[in-house]
Amino acid sequence: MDDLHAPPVPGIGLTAKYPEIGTGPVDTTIYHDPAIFAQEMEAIFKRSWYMIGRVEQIPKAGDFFTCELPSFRQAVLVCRDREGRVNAFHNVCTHRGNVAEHRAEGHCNGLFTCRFHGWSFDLQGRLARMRDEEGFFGADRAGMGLKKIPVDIWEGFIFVSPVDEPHQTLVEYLGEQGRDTAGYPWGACTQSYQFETEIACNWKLAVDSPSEVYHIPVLHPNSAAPTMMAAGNPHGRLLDVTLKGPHRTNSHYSVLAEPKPVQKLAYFHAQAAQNVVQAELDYELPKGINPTRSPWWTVDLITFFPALSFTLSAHMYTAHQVWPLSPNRCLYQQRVFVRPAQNAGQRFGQENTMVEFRDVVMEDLSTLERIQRALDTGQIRKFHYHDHELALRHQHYVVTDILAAYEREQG
Amino acid sequence: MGAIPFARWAEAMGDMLLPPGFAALEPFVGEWVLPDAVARMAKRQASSIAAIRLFYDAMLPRGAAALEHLRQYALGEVPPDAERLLKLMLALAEVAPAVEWYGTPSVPDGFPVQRIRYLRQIADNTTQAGAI
Repeated sequence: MDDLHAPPVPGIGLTAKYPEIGTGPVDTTIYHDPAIFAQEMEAIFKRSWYMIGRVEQIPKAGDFFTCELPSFRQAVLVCRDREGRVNAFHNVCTHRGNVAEHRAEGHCNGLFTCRFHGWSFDLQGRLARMRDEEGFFGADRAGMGLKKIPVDIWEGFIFVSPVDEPHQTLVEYLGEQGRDTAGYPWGACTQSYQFETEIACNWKLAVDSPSEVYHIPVLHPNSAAPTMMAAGNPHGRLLDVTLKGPHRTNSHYSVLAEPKPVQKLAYFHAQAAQNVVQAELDYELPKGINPTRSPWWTVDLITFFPALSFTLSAHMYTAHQVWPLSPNRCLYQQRVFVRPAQNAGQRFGQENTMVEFRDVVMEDLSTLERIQRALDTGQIRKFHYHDHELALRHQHYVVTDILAAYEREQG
Repeated sequence: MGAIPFARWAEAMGDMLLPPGFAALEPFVGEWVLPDAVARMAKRQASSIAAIRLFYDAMLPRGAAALEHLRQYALGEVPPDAERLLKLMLALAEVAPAVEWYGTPSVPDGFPVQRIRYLRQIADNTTQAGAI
């Protein structure tokens, strides 16, 4: 174990693996320009898929949840039908447009009933009952069911498309990144917290926020820094960055540091997931997770372009989805997934994991509205990225590349 | 509602506020036994760092023993005295970064935690899917 006490310092040279990305400063216009934002919505966001929940939320026929796709202002109803299929609909009653199901989640006995005039829809979305049907001039119920939303499932995550004819299938969208991370025990973390906040910044800044750890020693001196920078890695460099088409993975370094007192309680008395070196796993990591198979691995940030990222360690993960609202506003949604508590003591470990992660996120998000102000006022026109800020440079490259192709496509 | 009326009520009911051995923590029950994570977050934000430290300093030395006591119960079957002890421990998890990382109730120069909305929490004392 001696080598674990003298970990290597990660080197410079990540960006050089991808010469097409370049090394110069980048123009910041795409972070605030309204015309570019409108193009991004067409060329990027309408062509992507969105993770809205997990299959464990609706285990039985009749179970459902509702949500919104904030960037598209669409209301969605997801349920499991009697054949075990997961169905997704626009949550819009076909009579006058009220929501067909008003509750956030629950179980229904096979019918969703609109609280406006009482029309009811079944688990396949068919219009089952029009109250006082005689007064509707012989309208054909068969064509008046809830409108379906394209839905598909990857590793237990429910994804939907905001357009009727998806630009690509979910499998195509997830690509190599999806193949290389399938097989992680996603479903073992049955318990989750979810929180969200609006942030006055461009969506790309919110995606950037955890995508570099050059900031770790400065922005997180007492929280994340003790394990993620340490003596051998004073600048908090990454183990690796892997680019896969539009998607990317950051692999994070860590060393065993002395836990804080309450962390000791959580780790050693309540089985909380530790974001530190894990010697023993009860499963095999897929090849896309800890891709360098480093013994100093702690966390991967697995990003599905444009705006879904998993912060993933051996026994817990988080999922954050950034929803663009305007050139300088977005909705940031974060889910924290942990393994089930086997007893009341382990419940403490779950809470410790959530609170620590949330507070680190509050450290991260602190800079975003200030950066956006500098962008909106023209006070910063170039970003200079460090070698280990490659993920940000990659995002800029991918967005610029897609918008250029879209312009050619539109003629 | 403060600790004293509740303590008197519990005593009158012949019930102990906390499991045997944890009586020294009873003064914190009225203020720090809270319904859920959102309430705990709000309590931390509304408290002075001095009040948080008082609670933290009382809880920390009893933490390992409290978790040992709680490990004997499955969630959903935690009796009232142990559930209050669990909720005190969950409050300790909430305030720990204030004491150990920041020295202030909220993240210094951080994004205002008051701006986040919780859409989903883990229930404090309910059986969890996947528990063996």
